[in-house]
Amino acid sequence: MRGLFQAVLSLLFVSTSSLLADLNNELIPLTLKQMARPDRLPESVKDAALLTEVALDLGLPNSGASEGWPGEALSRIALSQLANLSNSKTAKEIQSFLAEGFVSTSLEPDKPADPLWDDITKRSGEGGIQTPTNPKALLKKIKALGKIKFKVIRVENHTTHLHVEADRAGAEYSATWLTSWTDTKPPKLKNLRVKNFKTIISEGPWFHDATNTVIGRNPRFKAQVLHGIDHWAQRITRIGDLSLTGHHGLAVGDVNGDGLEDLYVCDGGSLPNQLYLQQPDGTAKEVALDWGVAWLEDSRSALLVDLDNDGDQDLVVATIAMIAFAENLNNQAFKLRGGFPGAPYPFSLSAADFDLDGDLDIYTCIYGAGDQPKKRGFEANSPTPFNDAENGGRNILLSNLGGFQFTDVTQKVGLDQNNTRWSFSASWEDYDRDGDPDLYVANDFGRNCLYQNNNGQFSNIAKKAGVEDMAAGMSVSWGDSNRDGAPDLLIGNMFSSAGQRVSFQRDYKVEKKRMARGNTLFTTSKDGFEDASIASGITNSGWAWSSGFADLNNDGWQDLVVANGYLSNSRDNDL
Amino acid sequence: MSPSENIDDYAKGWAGLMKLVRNGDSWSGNEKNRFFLNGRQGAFHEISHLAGLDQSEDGRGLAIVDWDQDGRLDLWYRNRSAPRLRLMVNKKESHPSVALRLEGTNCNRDAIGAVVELLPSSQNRHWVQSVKAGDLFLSQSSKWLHFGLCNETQDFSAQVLWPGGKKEVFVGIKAGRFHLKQGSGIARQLNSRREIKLAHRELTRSPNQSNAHILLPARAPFPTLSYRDKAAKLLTTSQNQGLKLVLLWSGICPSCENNLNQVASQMKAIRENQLTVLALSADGINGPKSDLSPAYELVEKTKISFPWGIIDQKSARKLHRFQENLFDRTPEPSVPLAILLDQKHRALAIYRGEFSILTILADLKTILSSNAIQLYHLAPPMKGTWFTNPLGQREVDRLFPVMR
Repeated sequence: MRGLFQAVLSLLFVSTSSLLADLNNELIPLTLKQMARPDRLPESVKDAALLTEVALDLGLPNSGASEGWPGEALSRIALSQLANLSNSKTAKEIQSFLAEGFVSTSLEPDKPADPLWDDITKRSGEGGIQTPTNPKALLKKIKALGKIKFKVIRVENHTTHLHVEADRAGAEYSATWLTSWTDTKPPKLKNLRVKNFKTIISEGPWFHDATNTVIGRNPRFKAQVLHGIDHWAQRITRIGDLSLTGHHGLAVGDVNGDGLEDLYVCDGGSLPNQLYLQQPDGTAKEVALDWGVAWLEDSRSALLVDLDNDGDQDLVVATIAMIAFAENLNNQAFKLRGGFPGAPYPFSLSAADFDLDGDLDIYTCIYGAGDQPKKRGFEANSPTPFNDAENGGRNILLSNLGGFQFTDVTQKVGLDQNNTRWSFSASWEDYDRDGDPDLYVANDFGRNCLYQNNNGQFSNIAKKAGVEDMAAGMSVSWGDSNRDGAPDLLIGNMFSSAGQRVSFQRDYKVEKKRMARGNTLFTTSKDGFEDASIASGITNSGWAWSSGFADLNNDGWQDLVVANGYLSNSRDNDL
Repeated sequence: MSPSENIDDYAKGWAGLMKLVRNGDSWSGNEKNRFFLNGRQGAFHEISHLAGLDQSEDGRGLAIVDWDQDGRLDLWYRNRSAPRLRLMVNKKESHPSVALRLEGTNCNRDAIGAVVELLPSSQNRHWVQSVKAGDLFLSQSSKWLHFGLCNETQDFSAQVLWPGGKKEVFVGIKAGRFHLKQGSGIARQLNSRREIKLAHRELTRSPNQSNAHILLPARAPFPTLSYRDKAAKLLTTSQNQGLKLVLLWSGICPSCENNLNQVASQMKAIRENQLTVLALSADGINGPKSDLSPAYELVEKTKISFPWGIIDQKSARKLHRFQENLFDRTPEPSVPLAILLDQKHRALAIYRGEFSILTILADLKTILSSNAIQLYHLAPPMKGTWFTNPLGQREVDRLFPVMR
């Protein structure tokens, strides 16, 4: 929400943090009747399942948008019954959730363990025969699983299909359960069948949390890192540009040339970006102010790359005002060299030398068109149609002219095809191994793009290559997961149990069902790309923002890591 | 239903969902991060919990890097919810690895786009990595290429396809860290791994704080609130021009009592700053049923000498709407709440919870002596620099129209 971009010449630093004395007091909540303003919320749209329905229904006759969902009602009550059942402490308690004559399969049958790798083994199979199960026996079985979480992925008559996950020390259980309910209020559990289960057994954990050790001594840690967006969004005004969705990224690189990796972190408007310099002992010191890059503009993403080929790492930051370019000065500070203002509200950045002229060019994803301070992205402009929207922002390729000068060559090089599809991220890879980088772009509401580079001119071959992946695309990672020498594609998508339920009930075609299916893995074969998502078992990764290949156990094979979750707020519900 | 009505519903649906979120609901929140082990036969196996990579923050960015250079990949997570950063350090007893950093001389110096194959690999398997700058979501991982070696211990060579299509082979590579400079043909070994201890320390989220001290980055139009004074006369907050501190309080709130006492004890300083104080009780928002006796008792007890009154629900709602419009996440309506207003009935600062009146007076001085650009720099809760100019007052007024 800026007027014209102008570098501020005189900078005024006033610390207000010292004024934030620790006042020990409690606020008294006021009850204001009829505070909700229903004008922004149609009665029919009360949860995400219904939203997905409305969205997927666009253009279809006989929309059920205002009718409500009997299936959704059962889904909600079943979830609540299951949560209470699994929290039961006594057989008597558990009995109140069970219908007379309750039958169940085994929840985790004692199958032989298959070795997977190192000390890791797997037990899997079906639940077996259903037998009458008394409350005491069920309680014992449930408790043995550990900490359980349920998601309803399908509702058929009085049966709910559940995705079940349970954790306990040394074991991780996942399963599909079919549970049938009586037609009573509340419904009681008639039978339970474990359609399939998998338990992985291993000693853990592999990782430990060194955040506090590494950055905990910086004043910024307590003041900034330990407060979530929910905290700041009640304190930083919309004039201050904080983004409620918290889309702020990070970049790793060695900015001072000492051979140790450092970290640049983007933050919301009015919160300074941070630069953590790694020290010889592995801890990191926050130095963004000293280095001149504690910018307050709402910043989405950053890159640490050598833009002028002088051997040090320069900084590119995608802010909502401009794409800022800063030169590394002798490994001691950054100097803002200029910015490209024609890329409002950018998302991910990705660099490559597309024209092979020896310097790095920058691709910027622009998600929405017409963002406003009070409405961003899909609030400002509804993606239409939901599963194939082309009314997003226009992505931009900036060609490096040298001397920190860049120019928009998007149209000139052929990248303006399918270029307004609500893009979240992109990644370059010379996937055809012809010596120049090609580009894959993940789009939030429908088809993705694969732009093949032919001597600096691009054509979108996603459809031909079979990698359109019509889904809610959020991230791109290239890597060779099957070790055949050719790069595979991992695309981070949205997995939504609500979306799954609705698309089942509506009997949507495959392409619409895919919208809420979750992550996609395209592997390569001699015929090109192949969708290996279901077979590889990686789809359920939650509302996955970053999904990436990484070999975390050094066995030579690329594993998958995912950072997910959309909007956690003070109320622990799930719309 | 016609498609056009449908589209309208659809747009409202998005707005409606975000409205629920703004008021404190979660939407696909509290999801655990995931980790899938490559089972080598085409299947992956989820072991998020076993690996210790199942944190439930709203994850956004993810950078993959061998931070401590011990030959194992570590993970920096960038989150929406607290903690907004997490470094997960890899302590899995595992195999050695090769790490390669490329330097271009005939191509871009970072060698972004280079494709490297480590040779030989047993069983007809390939070992390929490429140098990237920016992937996943809003993230850039390390430019070091990482090859887990499993049980292979032979000497390796690296075949590099440089951007532009030239191939070059580097020999003499074994477990460790190597620098490959284009055209040199030599894999230069770098210092071996460091022995450092990055201890595990639990992270505790900061407790939710409801009190807040907010200097606004621009003067925000404030709604006119009506109230009844002690003689039940109907008045409004905009009747008298001048600098104002509007205090919202309740007779049942101990912090409100402290605030009122503080103000009462500093009346001289307040008058010197040409500030007037108006204390509005929220005890009447439930209409005729409201019990006003605690309010009167508190006035009696604190012996306040400045104007006070009682607001109705309509005005309380206006005040709530003011905050709802101003902030992305709507604060719960609560007392004590104080708003500092300029002569044109625009808000300068907001104080939730117990405050220090001397701080408010200091804020007033600072704000009044600041121009628009300085105000814009005053507002952020921490030091930093804007490289852009603030919005003009006209744009701010347009953004936050006064609610009548």
